[in-house]
Amino acid sequence: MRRNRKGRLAAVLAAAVLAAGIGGCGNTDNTQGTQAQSISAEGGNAMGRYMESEIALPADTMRICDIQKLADGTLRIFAGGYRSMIWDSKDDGATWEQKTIVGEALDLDKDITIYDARISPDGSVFAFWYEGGSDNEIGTLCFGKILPDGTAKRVTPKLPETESSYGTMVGQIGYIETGKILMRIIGMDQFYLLDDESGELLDTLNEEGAYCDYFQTGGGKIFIFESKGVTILDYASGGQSEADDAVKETLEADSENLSLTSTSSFPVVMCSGNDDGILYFADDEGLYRYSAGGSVVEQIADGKLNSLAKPSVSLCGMSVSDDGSILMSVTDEESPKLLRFVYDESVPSVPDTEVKVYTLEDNVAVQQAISMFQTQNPKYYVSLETGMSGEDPVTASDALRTLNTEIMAGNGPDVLILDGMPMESYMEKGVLKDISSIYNEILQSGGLQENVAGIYQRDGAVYGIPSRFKVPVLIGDAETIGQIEDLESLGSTAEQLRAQDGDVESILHVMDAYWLQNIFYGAYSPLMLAKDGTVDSQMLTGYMTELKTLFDLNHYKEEEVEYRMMTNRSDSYDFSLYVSTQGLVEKTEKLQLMDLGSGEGLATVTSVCGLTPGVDYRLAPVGEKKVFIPSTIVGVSAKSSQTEGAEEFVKFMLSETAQSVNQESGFPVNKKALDTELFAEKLAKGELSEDERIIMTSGSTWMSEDGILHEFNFDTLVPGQEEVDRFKKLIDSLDTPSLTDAVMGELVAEQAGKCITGEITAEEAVSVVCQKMNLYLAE
Amino acid sequence: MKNKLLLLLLILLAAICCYPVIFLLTGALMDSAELKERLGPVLAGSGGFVGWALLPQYPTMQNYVELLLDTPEFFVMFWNSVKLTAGVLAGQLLIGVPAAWGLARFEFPFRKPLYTLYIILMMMPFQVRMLSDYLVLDALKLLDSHPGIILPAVFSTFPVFIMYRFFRGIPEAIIESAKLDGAGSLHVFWFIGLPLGAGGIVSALVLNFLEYWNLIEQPLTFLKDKTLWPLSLFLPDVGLEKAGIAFVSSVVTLVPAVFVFLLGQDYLEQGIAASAVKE
Amino acid sequence: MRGIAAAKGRRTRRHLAGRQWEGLIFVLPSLTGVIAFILVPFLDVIRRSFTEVMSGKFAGLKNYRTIFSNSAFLQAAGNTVRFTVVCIPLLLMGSLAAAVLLQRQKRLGSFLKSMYLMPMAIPVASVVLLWKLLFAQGGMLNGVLSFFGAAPVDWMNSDCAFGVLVFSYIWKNLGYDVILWLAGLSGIPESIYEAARVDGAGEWRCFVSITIPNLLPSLYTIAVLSFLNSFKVFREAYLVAGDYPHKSIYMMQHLFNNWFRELSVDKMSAGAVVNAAVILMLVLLLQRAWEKE
Repeated sequence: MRRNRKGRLAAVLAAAVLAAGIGGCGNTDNTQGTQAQSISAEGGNAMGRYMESEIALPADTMRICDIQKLADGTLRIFAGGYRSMIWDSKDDGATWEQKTIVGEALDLDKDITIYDARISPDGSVFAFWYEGGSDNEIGTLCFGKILPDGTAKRVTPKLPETESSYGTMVGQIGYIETGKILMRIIGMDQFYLLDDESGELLDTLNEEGAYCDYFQTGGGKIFIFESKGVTILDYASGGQSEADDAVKETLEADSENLSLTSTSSFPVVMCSGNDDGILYFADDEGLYRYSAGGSVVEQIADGKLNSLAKPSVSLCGMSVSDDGSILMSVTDEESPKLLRFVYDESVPSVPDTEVKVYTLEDNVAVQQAISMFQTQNPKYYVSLETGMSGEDPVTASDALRTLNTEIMAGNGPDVLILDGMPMESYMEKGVLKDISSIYNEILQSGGLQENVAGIYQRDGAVYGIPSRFKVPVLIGDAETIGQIEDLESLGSTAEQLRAQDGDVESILHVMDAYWLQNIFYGAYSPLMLAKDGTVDSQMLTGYMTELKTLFDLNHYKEEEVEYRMMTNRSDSYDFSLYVSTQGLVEKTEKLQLMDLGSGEGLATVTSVCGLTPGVDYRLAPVGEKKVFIPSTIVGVSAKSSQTEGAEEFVKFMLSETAQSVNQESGFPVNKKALDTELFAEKLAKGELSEDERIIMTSGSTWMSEDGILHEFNFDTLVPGQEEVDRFKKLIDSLDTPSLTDAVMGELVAEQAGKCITGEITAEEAVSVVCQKMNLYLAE
Repeated sequence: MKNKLLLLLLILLAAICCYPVIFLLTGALMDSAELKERLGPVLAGSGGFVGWALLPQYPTMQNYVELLLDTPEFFVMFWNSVKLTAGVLAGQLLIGVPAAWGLARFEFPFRKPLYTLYIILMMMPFQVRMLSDYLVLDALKLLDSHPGIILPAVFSTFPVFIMYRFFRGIPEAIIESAKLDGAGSLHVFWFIGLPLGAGGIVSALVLNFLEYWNLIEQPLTFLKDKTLWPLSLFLPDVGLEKAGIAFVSSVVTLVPAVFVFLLGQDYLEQGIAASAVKE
Repeated sequence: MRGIAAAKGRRTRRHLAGRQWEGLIFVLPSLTGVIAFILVPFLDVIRRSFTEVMSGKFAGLKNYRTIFSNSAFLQAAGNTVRFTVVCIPLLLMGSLAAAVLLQRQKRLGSFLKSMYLMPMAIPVASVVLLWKLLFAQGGMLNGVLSFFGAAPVDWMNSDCAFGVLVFSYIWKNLGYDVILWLAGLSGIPESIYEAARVDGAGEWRCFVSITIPNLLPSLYTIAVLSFLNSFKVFREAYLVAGDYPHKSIYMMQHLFNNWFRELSVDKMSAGAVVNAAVILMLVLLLQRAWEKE
């Protein structure tokens, strides 16, 4: 009996242990051979890092199609676009010499634009363009080669027939080696290898056919990228290469590498090294080197320490010099740039000072600033931690708890981006350091939009500075909106408008339920708390009721209803900055409430007003208050051990350099940057021509139910000086910040969503909010 | 007649207890369209009420396939749970059993207060200790690792409490005779205490298995690396698309627990019967 | 004879005295771990209850004064006490009744027992899923209600939430307590009952005078275990209703959780100490009650 019991006990335990053991071995996790080994040693004093510098380009360069370091040391670039040129530099980019004006050399018509070109290792250039096109047809494909001595000739390609009705169009070209150009024709699944002078078809690769987004060549291989993965072909044999799993896995690890999102840049660029079989490649995480058939991919530069990780940077091409320095052509915010990476042994591989930045939600402005800051300050390593990365179901509460644990344990961040955090609570408890010295410094040097940046001053101390802000505005018929004072009158005016016009599609533009309550929360949250800090249930009831009214007043198509009722967003894109131009111009919508956060946004609104007589905009009607939405609020942790680095970074975030880059997080508070954002430079030029005034053209075509093709075109124009001045006055009058506490925001959002979709009544929604908020405020 | 009525009552009770399990089982077999239709009122806010059937309209193994074959994280988390639970139970055996024995059978000074202390410490809810636990683990460099969860759990005083009573219930006579025969303390413990107290030990193991198989707060707070997460953290916020997965993973998580429970049920009862004898 | 007995006695006594310390050796490994991982954090919590959050300065009884005038604390404390006072007796009595009834069922008894254990085995997250489906506005319960023509009830957002929580607790722990009671019951020899029946005692008399007294040791264990499990209800409540559930199920742990999120570690620690003190008193009381028996 006893033995039986013991036996069973033993059996159970043994099974459990065995299971655990097998489990440990049979792990599906192989992180061993796949991830690139990085050189950056942790905690050691390893020296040596690739330092980045910029090479100035010839003036008026619109776009760089290719770069190549030639055998004799000359740096050759092909500047594409309207007047394509080949430039040479014999002194590594210090000065540029115009080598060839391509259009002239090939004897082309003045209005022909070279689509794309590639430079071969020996310096010859292969280009393609289309001739004889019209509005409907792109024209005939033509190729040309420019020899190293400057003479040029047309090349007639001997391509197989294509079935495409648009004619033959080239997707991408690339040199494999001198004399052999690889090209992908749109619609064909194969790759054609042509002789670059005679146009003869040398080989057809990848016969099985696989759709591909783009390709890159280097190290004796061709890499084909598409959403399912990377295929590697060996161009000597034309077949698939088997031994390069390490590279394949590194490339596939980041799914963003697999799809092309732009016509002029690539997620990954590659080039051959100086020796056989050596491959260099780059993506937004860094620079890598690989030896053919090897088992390890070496990361030679960490993207976070230079411009590669910068959100505004896209990669176009790269080339390696004899001395091992790497040249990259990129576009940074639409302008072309040439970067050089040179290995410097005197710089530590990883900066010895780490500044930790924390943000609750993804914030592109911060990522951009970090990248720029590190490039300028190589002694700092800035790491970014995001509380809610959007992938896992972590709520704001959970993220804050984890953050607090870290802060209390002394492992906390040095810089806090306070959006969504309980600022009042943190200020009371002394979590934040007083950064009034930084505030005053910037105030004196460049100037700040004080009524916004200084909104969190308390008794002379500054604990948080909003570095960006958005302005909620109401757009509609001038007379109508002029009379709306507050939310209630907005609601009743909307009802009146509907009574007057029963047919119009929408009274107030609505994207979906979540969007609606988000926009309104931004404008009206300051009213939700009464003076004593408790919840104003009366105001909230009005809020919920009006939201539902406004939502219901619109006519939605049946197939749209489900979409409109969406009460949460899975993506992080901020649609509050969207202007519904078509609705306002074509008068299918009467009113729109949205947030202005960029010069372009303002221009869109003023363009709409200019185009549609009688339409105007004003600050959101919130009674007496002039509300703005603070964003990317920077603060320094009181427990930070890196105060110097933290303060440097905060200063940088508020500087003109960082603030001039607009990443859709709002207007900058730095005065100089704000002026630039509001077209100061363009307006200073005086009268602008029609073309110069156009910032952007947009258009859409669609087929309506009755089979008629509709088209809508809209030009966004630079606003006039008076319009800019008027807006600046509005900005100067702002006095009330929207509430930033994520806990309250989420609470209200959840109930508002349910109320709008009719799941619960306004009263029920309000009572739930009040009950929960009162608990929250009582704690 | 009264007997029949009472029996019916008991059966009804059993049904209420088991219904959720059946619910999960049937739900796991429903395809996403049916789930959407049935669960819509709650998960998507559409009008009406959630209805349910005893059997799915169109039974499908689709959910099982998706979870077991297409979701590698699931397996990683499953083995994590196994590893954690096994580690904790093994540790508790090693540490807790002797402790319970010592407290139960020896009359050293401070025994009573020590035992009381053990009970108090058992009652501390996690939220309260969270920060301090974090600091201790941080100081010992055990954060973000499995030992950081296993080690504190091994020293939990709960199993000691349970086993204490069992060891207390062993008749003094047996021990005395063994001692008179010349047995040393270790000998007594190993050959008499353990076998006789096996019921208590298994009870403690079974109860703790459940506790650690379902552990949520500690991994959530102390494990940052998602590849270390146990199964209990897998069930995400149930959205309509994921409803099928949620049901299946519930079933898969449920099965080992039920298995252990059924295995240990006999021991539980026998063991408690033994301790029912007055001290 | 006496000499030998006396000599034996002396030897035994000395033996005993030496041997008692060995107990400590058995306990030592556990004790070290407990001190390191459980006691030390707890002492840290006590320390924090007397200091300010960020600076660590000594603050005396300030935190305690704050929490006792904090309405959220009082609400949570009241709810926690109310829950315990309602649930535990209900559970104990209900499970005892079921156990007594079950003991008679020879055939189905063991099968039914296993059924009762099911709820405990179901993972928490699944329970939460079921809750949502049963008790939401559009949930199954309301569906049943409307089928019978009654108005739907807002289970989770009204005072009914408390009832739901109580139900959930009892549902989960019933089976387990039944098993424990059954085990205790089976330890009572049948002979006592037979003797009593021969004396003419009825069902109820047997129950009160024989069953209950013999179950008292089990009662202690079961009560403590049930009390422990009452804390675990927080998990379900939190996963279903979030940080701020309806005020009737707002418990101490919700409050601690939220205080921590707001970095009010000082208040949290003070509350925790108060919590622990109350539990300590309860445990001591229980122990004393048992000693008397």
